[in-house]
Amino acid sequence: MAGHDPLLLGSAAALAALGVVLVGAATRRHGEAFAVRQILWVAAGGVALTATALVDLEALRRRANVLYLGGLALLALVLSPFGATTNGAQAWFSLGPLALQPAEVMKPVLVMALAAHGARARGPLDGRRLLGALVLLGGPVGLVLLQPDLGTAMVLVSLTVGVVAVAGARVRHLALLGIFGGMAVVGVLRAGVLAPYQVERLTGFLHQSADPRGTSWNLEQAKIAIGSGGLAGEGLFSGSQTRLAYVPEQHTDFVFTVVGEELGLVGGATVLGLFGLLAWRIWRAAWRTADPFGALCCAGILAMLVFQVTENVGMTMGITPITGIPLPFLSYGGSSMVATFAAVGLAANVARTCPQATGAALGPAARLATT
Amino acid sequence: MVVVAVLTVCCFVTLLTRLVHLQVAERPAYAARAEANRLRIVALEAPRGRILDRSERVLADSAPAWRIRLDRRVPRAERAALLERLGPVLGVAAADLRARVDDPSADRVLPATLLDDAPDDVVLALRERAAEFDGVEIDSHPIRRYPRGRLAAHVLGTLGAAPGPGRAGRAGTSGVEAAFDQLLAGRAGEDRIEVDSAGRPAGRTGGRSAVPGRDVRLTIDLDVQAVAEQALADGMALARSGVPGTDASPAPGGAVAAIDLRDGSVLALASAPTFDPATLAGRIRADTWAALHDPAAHAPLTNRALQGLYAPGSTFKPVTALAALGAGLVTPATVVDDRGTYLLGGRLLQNAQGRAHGKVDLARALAVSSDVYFYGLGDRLARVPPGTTADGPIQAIAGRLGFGRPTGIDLGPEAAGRVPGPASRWAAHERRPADVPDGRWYPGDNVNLAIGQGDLLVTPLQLAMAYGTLATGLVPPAPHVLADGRGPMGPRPGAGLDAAARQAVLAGLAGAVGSKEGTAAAAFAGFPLDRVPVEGKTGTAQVNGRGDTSLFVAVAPANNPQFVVVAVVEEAGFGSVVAAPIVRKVLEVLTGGRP
Repeated sequence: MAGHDPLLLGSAAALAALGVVLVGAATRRHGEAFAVRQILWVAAGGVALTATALVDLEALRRRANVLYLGGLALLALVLSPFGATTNGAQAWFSLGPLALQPAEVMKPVLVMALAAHGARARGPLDGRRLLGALVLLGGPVGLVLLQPDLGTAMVLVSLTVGVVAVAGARVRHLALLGIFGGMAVVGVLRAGVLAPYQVERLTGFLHQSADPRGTSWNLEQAKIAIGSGGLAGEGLFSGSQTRLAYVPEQHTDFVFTVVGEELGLVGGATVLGLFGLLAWRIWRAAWRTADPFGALCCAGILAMLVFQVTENVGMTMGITPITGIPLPFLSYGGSSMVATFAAVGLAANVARTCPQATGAALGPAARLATT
Repeated sequence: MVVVAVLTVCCFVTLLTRLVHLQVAERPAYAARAEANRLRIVALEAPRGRILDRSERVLADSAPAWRIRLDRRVPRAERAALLERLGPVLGVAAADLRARVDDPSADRVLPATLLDDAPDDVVLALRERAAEFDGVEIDSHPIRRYPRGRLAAHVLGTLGAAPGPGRAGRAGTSGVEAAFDQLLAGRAGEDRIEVDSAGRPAGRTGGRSAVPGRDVRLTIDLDVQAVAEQALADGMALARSGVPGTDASPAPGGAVAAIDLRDGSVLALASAPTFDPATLAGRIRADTWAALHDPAAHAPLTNRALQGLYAPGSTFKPVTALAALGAGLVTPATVVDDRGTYLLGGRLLQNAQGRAHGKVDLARALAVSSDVYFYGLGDRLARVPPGTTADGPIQAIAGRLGFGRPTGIDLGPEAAGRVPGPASRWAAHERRPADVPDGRWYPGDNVNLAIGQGDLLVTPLQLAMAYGTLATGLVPPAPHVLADGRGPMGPRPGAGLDAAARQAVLAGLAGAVGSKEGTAAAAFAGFPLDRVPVEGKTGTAQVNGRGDTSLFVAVAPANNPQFVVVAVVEEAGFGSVVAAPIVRKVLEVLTGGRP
């Protein structure tokens, strides 16, 4: 473990351990099966983290495109009859008792591919290189939207923005992209590409409690759970909203409501604090490394994590739209757990290998553009 | 990179701010909503207190009954078939059972009540075939029982569904059940049940048990009540069979009241036709309800002793006599020659059956019930100028005796009756000119009033209390059926009746019972009047288009008034034939005057 960042790994481990407890609390009326399986996912994640933390970064950079094509192939394959459908999305490979979600795997893979692409520029990203990054993004986003899995698509977009921004894309290019992106979102919402339930879920947070038994039911119950927790919470396994199954999807997307109700503001702030600590250590690795590939990897991972935490925790409190995005480390689920651990392992690898210089990997122009 | 850091910090600060807002500022509201989610409060029925007679013999009791309910978790698809199978076992049509399950006023979570007083054999059948009736629950809950059957049904009163969602069980809707509901009801308990998001009970989290209602002891004497009801039934049967001197009459209803004048306690209160309170204790069957409200049943739920309005006929003559004595028109010794007719403004009025009584003074006029004597008094009283009141002397005396207003008995509702007079006639004309085209009060109206006819209406209870006032010369305490709950209250002075006039009238009432020619002499033949002297008055009141009302009121013992008893039987002919024997039987049990 020499040279490893103990705060980075420690915060990740603490969050994962807490996740097991929370999943256990949310599914207690069904026994311990979910908690036991979550322990297995954490173990699998540990293996993935060890691998990505120890692998040679340079070798990884050279093989980033291969990994990317492999991920893309899996995403295409899941749309074929090999893929299984759950909750209206064809997003899974069913492997006996296990289920693999290639979109989750694609998240760290896309980070690496974009980082490798950005690192080749050896300077600020010009329009052509930016376009290249967008092409890299376009493939997986398109395939993920076909499942359809809007949440993961949004994560892929956000981590791309993180990488290209840190790689030194021009401000006006990013602004232009922002405008086009905004128009695209409105277009998607209006043009009927999404099923009505998706539009309702996305816009539900704008008219909360208008429809107490329908779309807003999840949100209202989530807010009741968190709000009733108060300062210290109802106590682990004692929250009535949690015990009596008032919050739907509580062990997966709405796992933060367990923290809110049973552990209160103290627990909620601790969880946010651990994520904050994790974010800081990833940012610090990016800042200190001399390797542009490593720095951009960290930027992408940071953007991915911050977006997921903000979106997920925000939706349980009614300040962001409801989308099917898991809370990293805490939500129940194997693919997400393994992918998150792999991503954090990558950041840990960067932190371990390049601890000396500050901002050395990024060209002067990039630093100008971003400071 | 710095921008990334700033954005990240912004994200976390936003989340934390929102978290603090939800969990600190808005916590009370969300905690309350979580509690409302979690808990269903189920009311537990409190057993009603018993209703006892004055010697604490039980008239109404609360006993556990089998209740059969359907678990609402039985899926809709299975429910229909289940109810079809249940119908024959419970003896209720499946359609009725479906209606009970779908009753919109019932709780959404609690099991639906199918039967609330199931017989043992039904419960046994359900238990034996439990496998066929998955989802059917059998439990026990308190229900009213009446160990004496129909006895005092009108006094006890009826129960209805408890008002409001908070109260379990049933509440009084009439009689003692309604008047003393506060005492009898007790306090419902509650079970606090935790339910999950699908509404399934997940456990009991506490609550409080029900507090049983308090017993209520009545002034009613079960033995006197039984005699009164039996005597009333016998009298009605007699009237129906037709006796010599009367036409056969249908006698659809009647009432008896017996009151202890010393404290106003009601010893017996009977009304006919009556009903079986047990049929109204639980869920009321539609055919039972329809039968009780059939016009041919003559309103069995009405307590005629308090709510029946009758022309008092000759029982009103003492009022006229007091008014005439007070106005100085006659003295007790004034003699009138009764030839059987009286000429009023060209109209010839007759005695009942056209009989001529010859020379009558006041006492004899009352004893033989000479109409001619009282026609004259009514005619002459019409010409007496009104004193301080707008109405005449008869109305003034009637008011002092309590006619025209409720007696204030602690049972409701009670009718007020009506004493017509010049003032009320004119007021009625002003109010409803179409119904009362002529607002004037004629001597003929006064003559009618003098013999207790016309627009005059009294309740049996009013009549009894008026005779109590007349006999004692004191204002009797308001009649009441609740034995405990108020201090001792005796009669008080202030009735405003002239003692000499009263004695003159009472002599006439004694003669009606005790003299050979008295109208009630036959009815009291063999009664130990020497030991228990009785003062009474018969009445045979004419009713438009219907048979005569038979009335009798009596006070005993005359030398020390204790009891007043009244009997009224509708469409039953002479008071002397039907009503007087009823009163005699009640007086026998009250005074030990059995021959």
